[in-house]
Amino acid sequence: MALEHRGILRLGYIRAGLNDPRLEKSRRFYKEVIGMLETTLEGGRTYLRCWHEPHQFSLVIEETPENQLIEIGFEVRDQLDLDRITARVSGQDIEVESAGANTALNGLGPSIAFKIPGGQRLRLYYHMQQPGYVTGYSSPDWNVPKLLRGKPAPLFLVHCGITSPNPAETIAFLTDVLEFGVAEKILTDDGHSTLSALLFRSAHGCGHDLAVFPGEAGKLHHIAFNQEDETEILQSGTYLREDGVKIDIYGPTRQSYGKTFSLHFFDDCGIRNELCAGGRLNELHPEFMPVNWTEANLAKALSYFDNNMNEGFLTPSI
Amino acid sequence: MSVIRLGHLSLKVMDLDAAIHHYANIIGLVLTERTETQAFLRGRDEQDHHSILLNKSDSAGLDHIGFKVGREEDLAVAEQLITKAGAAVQHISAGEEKGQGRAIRFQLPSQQTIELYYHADKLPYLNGMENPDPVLREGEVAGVKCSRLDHLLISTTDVEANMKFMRDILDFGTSEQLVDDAGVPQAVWLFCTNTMHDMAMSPGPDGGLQHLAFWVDNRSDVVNAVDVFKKNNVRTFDYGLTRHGVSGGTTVYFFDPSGNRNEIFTGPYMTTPVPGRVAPISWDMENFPRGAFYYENELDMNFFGELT
Repeated sequence: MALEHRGILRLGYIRAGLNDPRLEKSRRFYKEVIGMLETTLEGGRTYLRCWHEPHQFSLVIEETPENQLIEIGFEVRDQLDLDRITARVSGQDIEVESAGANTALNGLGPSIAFKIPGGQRLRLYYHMQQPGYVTGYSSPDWNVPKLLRGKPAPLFLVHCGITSPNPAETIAFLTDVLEFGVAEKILTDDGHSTLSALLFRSAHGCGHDLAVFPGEAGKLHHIAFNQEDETEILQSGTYLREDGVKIDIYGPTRQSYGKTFSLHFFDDCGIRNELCAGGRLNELHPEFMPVNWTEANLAKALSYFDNNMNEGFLTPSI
Repeated sequence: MSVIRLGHLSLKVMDLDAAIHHYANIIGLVLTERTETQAFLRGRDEQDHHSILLNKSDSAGLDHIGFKVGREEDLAVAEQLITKAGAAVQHISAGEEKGQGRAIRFQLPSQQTIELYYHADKLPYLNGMENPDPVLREGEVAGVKCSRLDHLLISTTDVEANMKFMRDILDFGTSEQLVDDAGVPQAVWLFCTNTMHDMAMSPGPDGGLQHLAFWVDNRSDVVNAVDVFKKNNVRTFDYGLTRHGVSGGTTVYFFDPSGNRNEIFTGPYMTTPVPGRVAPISWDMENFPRGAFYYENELDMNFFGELT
C-alpha cells in the first residue's frame, strides 16, 4: 500500500488536424506569433511546446482535409493506471485501444485511447520524452528565452474546452469513470440539468484541466495557455493585434467562471486559443464543493467586465 | 490516494490579538472563529475551516503542519507506512482540532510535527458558491489580496533524510534543490500538488520554521503587499520586494508580531506530481545568492538559521 498520486495527473497535450497545407500557417502562428517552441517536425506533424515545459510536446498539429480535434492527451502515473482505467472504461462498453511506445505519436510511451460520451478521443500515457527545460537544469534564470521575448510566449498548456450535445452525460463519465473533480458548473435555471462544468485532476493552473460546454459532438472549444498575470496578458494581446490576430470581442477580461483573467483569440486556421492567469486551488476530495452558476448568470460567468454577452462564444472552434 | 494539499499551518504566537490583527487585517485572511487561546483563519479562496491556526503560546514557531489527504482510508495507509519507517504515530480524534475530523500526527526526522487529516469543516468561499463575483467588495477583506496558504520552509540538519521520508512515505517530489560542492543536497523544494513547492527545507537546527507563504494571483499584488506592510509598519525583510531565482517567483518576506517569518508569493510553475518524473533543477553554492534573491544577488546563509 502506498500514498501515491495516481490516475490522470495532468493535461498533457492537444492533437489537432488542420486543413493547412504543409502546416505552413499553423507552424508560423504557434512559433512566430504565439512564441511556442517546435521540438520536432516529422511524420507530417509539428510537435510544439511552451518554454516552461520539459516535455516533448503539448500541442501536435497535422494536416487533415477538414479541421478536427484528433485527441486530447492526459498523463497518468504508470502502466497500472492504464490497466485500471482500461477496465473502468471497458466496463462502460466503450472500446479501448492500446498502442505501444512511439506508435501513436513521436516520443510518446505506451498508451490507451478511447472515445468519451460527447465524441472526443482521449489518449492516456505515462511516459513522454523530455528534451528538458530550455532554460536548463543548472541555476537557471527562469526568464522567457531571449529568442521568444516580445512574443506572448506562454509558460505552459493549462486546459482545454470541449463541446458535447449532452454535457451532463459527458460530465458524468468524466467524474464517475475518470474521477475528475468539479471546480465549477453551470446549471439550467431550474437547477435540473448541468450545461457546463470545469473539471480538474490538478490542484493548480487556471482552475481546471478540462471544460465541457454544450454544443456539437467531438469538437474542441478552445485550448488555453498560462501567462504569469493580467499585465502579461494585456501585453500579449497588444502583440497579437499587431500581428493581425483575430481577438474575441470580449478582449482581455475577468472570467468569473473559473476566476481567471483571460484573453480569447483565434489562430490562422480557426482554433480558439486562450491566454489565462489565476484560478483557485482545487482539491481531489469527495467533500470539495464546486461553485454553481445558473444559466441566467451566464453573461457574468463568461465575462465580468463586458456588458454584452458574446453569443458566439460557446461555438466550438474545430 | 494521496496528500492533496498543504491544508493548514498551526503556529505559536505570543499575543493572540496582535496576531489576529496581522493575519486578518493586514494579510487579508478571514477569521472563521476564535477562542481565548486559539484563532482559526482561512483565505478568501479557501473552503476549509482553517488554513492558519494561531495558538497563544510563550514562544513563536510551528506547532504542526497539516497535510490533507484525499481519501479517509489514506490515514490508515499512512499510519502503517510511518510506523514501518520507525516514527511514532499519535491519534487525534475528530473535533480535537476545531473544524477538523480525526487525524494522525508524527514527527519528521527533522522534528517538525506533521498532521494528516481527511475531513475539514466546509465553508463557502468568501464571495459565496452561487454565481460569485470574481472580486470582493472594497474593504470586505482588508490588506493584501492573498487567496490562500501556499507553502512553508522548515529547517533540518539532514535534508536528504527528511526529503527521502517525504518522498517515500508521502510521495512528495523535488522540483529544485541546492547542492553543495560535494554534491550533497543542502536545501530542497518539494511538491505534493502540481506546483513548484508545497514544502521546502533548508539547513538549520531541527524543528524550526523558516517561513510560511501565502499566494497572490499576480506581481502587482505583491507590490501592493509591500505598500501595505510599509504603511502599517509591519517589519519587512531587508530587500523588501524581490524575486527568487529558485522558482522565478516574485516575493516579499515580512514578519508577524511574534517574529514568525511570512511571505507573499506568486509565480506560475507547473510540475507533474510524481517524484522523479522530471529531473530536478540544481543550484550550486556559487549561484545560490541569485537563487535566493535574484535582483540583489547577495545572500547571507545565516538567513536560513533565522527561525522561529
